[in-house]
Amino acid sequence: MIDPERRADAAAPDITAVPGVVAVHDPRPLIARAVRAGADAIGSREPVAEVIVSDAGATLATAISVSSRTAAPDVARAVADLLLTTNPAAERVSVQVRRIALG
Amino acid sequence: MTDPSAHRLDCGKTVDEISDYLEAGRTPFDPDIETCPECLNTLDALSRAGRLSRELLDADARALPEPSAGWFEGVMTAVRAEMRAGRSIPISHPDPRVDASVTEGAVHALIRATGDRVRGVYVGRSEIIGDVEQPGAPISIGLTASVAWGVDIRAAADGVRTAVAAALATHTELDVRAIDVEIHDVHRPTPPEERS
Repeated sequence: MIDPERRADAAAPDITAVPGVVAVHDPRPLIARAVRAGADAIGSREPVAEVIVSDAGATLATAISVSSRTAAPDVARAVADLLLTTNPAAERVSVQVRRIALG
Repeated sequence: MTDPSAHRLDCGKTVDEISDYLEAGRTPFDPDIETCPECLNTLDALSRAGRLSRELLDADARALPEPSAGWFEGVMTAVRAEMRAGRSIPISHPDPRVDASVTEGAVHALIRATGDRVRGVYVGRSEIIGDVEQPGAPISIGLTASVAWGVDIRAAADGVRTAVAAALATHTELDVRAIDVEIHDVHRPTPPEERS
């Protein structure tokens, strides 16, 4: 069962508020989304605000699209910093830039 | 026989499905495509190729050469290959707990979009050569392109090289040592009002 408290923790950071982020995506591959096998395999809950949090709360993962007006590495680091700030006990934070949208 | 999975993006959509969606005017709205980064990258690339195709039908330009017969198919093939997420290109972070990266597909899309923005140029294929997953590894970029009739080919190639180098320096931490641009085709001029 999903712990509502953990869901609230994971939802807390609004990644779309980070300058340069234009979209946030489910970081799991389609097969995991379709059959949820991938999520089970890594012991994660359904993503909240497109952030996957492992059952132990140790791993957070997200995928983003960024604007070309802001350097993608800076945006990715800012998102990682936000996740670390809101989840200081995290052992691993994964941020993947999947699209750089030319404005 | 062509392997159908070779035309499938990581999200499960095929490039042909996305092409059909584009041709239908992006209606009815498909939230799976419109929220998927790889699908959106593909839509962008196909939109630009489609624009070139329409430009070639422009009455004022009919007397001028078209790209070679296989050019559009080559672009489609390249898009199919490039738009998958591919390898993860690392982004540095001072905290060792952070694993940040940009996908190879996102970088291919960036290269293609940046090259297409150079006046008179349409990118055919792009290649990222080297161990991109190893920080600091030397990387080279290979590009093929078609250039509009009347455009200085050397200037166009230089423009692509400069624009792509700037884009990669801004959006990746790749150690790009070379950007090789090969002009494979010459096409009809691009009406200025139709370029974005």
